[in-house]
Amino acid sequence: MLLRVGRRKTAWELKSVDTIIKTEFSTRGEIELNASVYLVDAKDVTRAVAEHAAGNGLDPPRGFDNVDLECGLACHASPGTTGFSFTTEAHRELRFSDEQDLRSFLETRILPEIGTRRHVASKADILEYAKKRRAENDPEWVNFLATTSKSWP
Amino acid sequence: MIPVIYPPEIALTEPICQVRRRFDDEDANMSSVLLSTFREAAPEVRFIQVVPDWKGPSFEQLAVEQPQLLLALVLKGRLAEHDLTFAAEALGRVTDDSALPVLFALARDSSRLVREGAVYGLARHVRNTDVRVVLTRMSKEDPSPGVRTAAVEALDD
Repeated sequence: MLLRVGRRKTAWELKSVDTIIKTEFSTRGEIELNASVYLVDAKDVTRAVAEHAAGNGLDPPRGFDNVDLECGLACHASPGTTGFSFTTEAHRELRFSDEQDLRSFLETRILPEIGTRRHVASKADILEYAKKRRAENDPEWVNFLATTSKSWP
Repeated sequence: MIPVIYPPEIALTEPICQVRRRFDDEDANMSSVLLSTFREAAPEVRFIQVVPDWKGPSFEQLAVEQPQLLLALVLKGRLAEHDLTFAAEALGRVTDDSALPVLFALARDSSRLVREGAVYGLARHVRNTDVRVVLTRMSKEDPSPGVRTAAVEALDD
């Protein structure tokens, strides 16, 4: 799947393309026509989201409602910036030509199937994953957890 | 041709009477425009609040460096809901408690997007008793499943 880490659970509840574009695919008024995604298997959703959250300094941690954007569109290699090797290598970009291209993609390919495309990584899942990685002496997680707040395990 | 007004915050559509436009100050809003009409607006008049996207510094940056500006942006209604949700989250980073009353108000906003952002802002103050009361209410009573889940998770700290 091509996992897009969600920003707002409620944006996908509303199923409004306008709202989804403004909250999930825009930053400071600019639409992200190069949408960041992670090329992962379903079993790695929690791992990808946990690394994404940690790499972006999310504190306190929380759960995410994420969406699989895989539709056969070409995705482009683009190194991730989480600082974790798995998501650095899994990072891709879906590129849209303009807002209408993105809008049409969401309206015709994603929203009609949103029920099966949603993949939730709960806060409990993420924290449990982080604990396990530390217990297994994963150096990336040991280093991260040593420097972050007590909101993480 | 129906006149359409485009001040920063307000657009009027389908007026059936002449509307005398008066924007005396930067805080002109729907109320001041309505008061300026010289006939009562008929029920057919629809008011749409048009707010431009925020393109300034990030809300996180404002929360740390210019918290009063961030508070003013929120309090003056100058942010559309898709920006206000992230501003609400960033308000949680304001180091003193001045943002808490604002976050409590945002926790009751009509927009579920904004309420979710308020949850994330409040989550940074979850040791505060009043915050826990608000989050507990949201976790049980908010009509949005996403907001309820966010509040439950915020309380689990």
